[in-house]
Order: sequence, then structure tokens, then C-alpha cells
Amino acid sequence: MPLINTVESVAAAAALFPVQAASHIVLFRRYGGSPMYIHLLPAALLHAFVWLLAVAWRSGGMPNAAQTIAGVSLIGFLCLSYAQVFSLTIRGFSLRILVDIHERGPLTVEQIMAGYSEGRGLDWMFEKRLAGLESVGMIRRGEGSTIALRPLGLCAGLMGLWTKRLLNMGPGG
Amino acid sequence: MTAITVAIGIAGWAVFLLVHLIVWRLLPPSGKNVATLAMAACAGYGVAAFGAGLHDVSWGSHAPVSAPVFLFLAVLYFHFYFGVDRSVSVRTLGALARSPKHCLTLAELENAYPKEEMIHRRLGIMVEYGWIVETDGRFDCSGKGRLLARIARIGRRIYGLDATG
Repeated sequence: MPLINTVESVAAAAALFPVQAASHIVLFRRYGGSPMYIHLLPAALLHAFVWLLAVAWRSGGMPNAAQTIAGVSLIGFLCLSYAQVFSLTIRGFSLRILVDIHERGPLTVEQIMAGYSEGRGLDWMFEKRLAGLESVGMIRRGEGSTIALRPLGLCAGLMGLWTKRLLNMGPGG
Repeated sequence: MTAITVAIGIAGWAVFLLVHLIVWRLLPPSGKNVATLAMAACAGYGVAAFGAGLHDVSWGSHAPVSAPVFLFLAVLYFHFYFGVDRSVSVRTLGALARSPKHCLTLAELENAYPKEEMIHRRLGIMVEYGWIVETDGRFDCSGKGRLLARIARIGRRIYGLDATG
């Protein structure tokens, strides 16, 4: 296993990251939609495909096991890191508060709550979260504004509670 | 050799999780932050690399594979951890999971997870990070906060979003 080829494989994966980011932005702007993260997978696959072509061209053949594992791992790392940045941009709670303060500050707590997201308010944010949970089948909205957990939501809720207990964390949120 | 380098990356991740568990059970809430988590991750990979060195596997020979494997597993866990710690949705699911018959009205959910608590926690975190400053009950952006807010607004334009948050 030539060491320099594995390093080049990782460097190529990093250098080609703009392919993933750009293709995701194009897909998101063109098709938008729900769930929000649906376009990340084709963008990551495109990144991996272009990387494969680049490494094959550079190596004169298909990448070996070490190159493949290293390159694919780095692409996965970049995809998940990008997903975090994307998530913060479109629905980051703290970041939105920060932007509100930047645009209209200084603000009191009451002004922050009432004016959250350019005046939409916290009820809007919470309703958006509930709509998201309903769209992925985690909750069911019933009569009299009741909210019931579905099995998938129960699993996710319990996993969160157990993790917080195991790691001695606060209630979170 | 490839299997060994992958195993070093996975071992580093396992050590990180163990360090993270031990440290988190000992630390007070104020110490449980991104910086401490990142240090635990670095410590995990460092221990694995040190162990590999003791078996004559040099860092240079395994790092091109072990580091990306470790980074991928670490960021996968970070997603999970910060989802559990910060997500409004996960907190909501937890409140529902604890309730009788796993069902609450909106008013009951508001009692279990008050909006004031949501805001105060986030403001506390942002003050701790130095993004905002509090003066006489009013919050304003620091220089760092203003820069971050501008970047967020650029991101909103890039994605063509009407509303964020």
C-alpha cells in the first residue's frame, strides 16, 4: 500500500467537497421540500462518485482498500459536518435568536420570545417542530390539541431520556 | 495492515466514548460543553495512536486511514449528542415519553417544557460562548456574535430561505 496514494486519496476527498456543497445547494433551491435533508444523500453520492473518478485517474486504476476506506470516511465526515451547518442555518434555534438580536437588539427576554424569527414568535417555532415530528411519523396530532407519541417517537424519546440519565445531563432542549 | 489502521480509528472512537462517559458523570453541568467534548475526542484518538505506537505501528503509517475513520465516527456521535442535548424536538419527545399514555395536550406540554426555559437556556449558552452580552436585562451581540449573525444571513440567502429558526 503506497502511503502517498492514501494521503492523496484523502486530500482529493477534501478538495472535492465543493462538489457536495454546491450540488446540495442547487438541489435544495430547485426542489426544496420535505424532509429537508433529503438532498444530502444524492449530493454526498455525487461527491463520492467524482472522488472515485479522480482517484482512479490519478492511480491508473480503481482505489485499493485503504484508499477507499480513507476517502469514503472523509466524505462521510464532511457530509455530516456540512449537514450540521445546514441544519443550524435553516432551523438553528440559538442562531435565529442571535440574528434577531443583531437585527433589532438590544432586546429583553420578552422581546426575544415575542419577536422570534422576524416576529413569527416562539409558538410558530414550536408548531414547526411539531409539524416536522408529525411528518416523520413520530407523533400524531389528535382532537383537543392532543399530541400522542407513535412507536418511533417513543423510541426516540426514550433514547434521549436514557442518554441524558447515563451521561448525567440536564433536561436539554 | 488496512484492517489494523481501521481498528485504530475505531479504538480511538471507543476510548473517546469511554472518556466522555467518565468525565460527564463527574463534571458539573457548566463543564459539559463543546470544548470538553472535543478534548475528550482528541484524547480518545491520542490514546489509540499511543497504543498503536507501543506496538510499533507509527502514526504516519496509520493516520491516513485511522484519522478519517475516527473523524467520521466522532462527528456521527456529535450529531447524536447535540441532538439529545439541544434539540427542542428531542426534549419534546422526552416529555411525551414520560407522560401517562405518552400523550399530552399543548398546554400540558407547555408546563413540561416551558418556552421561557427554552430561551433562558439558549441565552445562557450564548453568553457563555461570548456571542451576546447582557446589560440591565437586555441582550446585545458581541463582535463575535455580529460576525456569526452575518454569516447566518449569508447562509439564508444561499439557500433561498424565507424564514429560518
